Amino acid sequence: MRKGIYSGVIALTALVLAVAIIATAGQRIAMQGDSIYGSSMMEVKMHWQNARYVLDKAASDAIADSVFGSGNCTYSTGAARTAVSTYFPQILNEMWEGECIVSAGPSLSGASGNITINATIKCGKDFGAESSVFYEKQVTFKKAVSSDSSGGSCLIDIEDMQSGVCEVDEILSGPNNLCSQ
Amino acid sequence: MESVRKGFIFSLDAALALIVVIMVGGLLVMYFQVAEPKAGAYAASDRIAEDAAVVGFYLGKDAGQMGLSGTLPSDEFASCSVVYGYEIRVNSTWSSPIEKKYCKGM
Repeated sequence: MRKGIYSGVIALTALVLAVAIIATAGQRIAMQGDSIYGSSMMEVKMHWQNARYVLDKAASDAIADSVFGSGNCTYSTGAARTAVSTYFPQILNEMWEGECIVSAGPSLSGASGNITINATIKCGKDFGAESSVFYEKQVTFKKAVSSDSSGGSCLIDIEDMQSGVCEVDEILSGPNNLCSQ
Repeated sequence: MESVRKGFIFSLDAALALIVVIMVGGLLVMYFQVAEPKAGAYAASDRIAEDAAVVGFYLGKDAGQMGLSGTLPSDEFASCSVVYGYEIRVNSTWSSPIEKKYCKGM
């Protein structure tokens, strides 16, 4: 009855030890994987917020440049739309090697005192071919622009209507002085 | 006499299997003991740099004001986090985003 009982006990011990080692190692590797995904998600979200901030400023830059380059220092929805559509992807492409893109839009509408820009920003990170993390959300920017060429040169004011911050302040007086009114 | 001994001394195969398992287990423990502090140091420098970048981004402070370096330190464990600013210039073209690095070495 006792034939081989010690061999059996030792073999069983070896088996239990092997299973315990494999399970522990597997759990550690899985935890490391979860940690990488978690920190990457935080990083992607941070990049999205940064991209939103930069595009907010870039929208004002595009509007100001479209007025400045119009030839007669006036705002045109079409010219501003073209500028925004050119600026957004180009600028995002220079950040984090193109990790963030404009996945929809941008669209621009409204007169000079009430410009609305919509775009969807998507930021993501790939882990090989099978897994990735990304964050995608639509953003809206609201701007007001005024211009004045009465003095010979083209002066521009741009106000961010969401924050009330004057982002371009070249007109210092007169009826077109948007920022001080 | 022979029949009494049978099974008392366990087989060599089982003993070898136990030794191999213990050795592999020992090697794995040694690997994790060496690898984990390194991974921990990298993770810590990465986390500090990232946190500083987030705070710096919202408060408008650069790496020096956050007690960090703007370039990658030559320490054994170092990490940088990058955020971008933008300067509006009224001309006829877009501006390049301004890169700000927040680096931590350990």
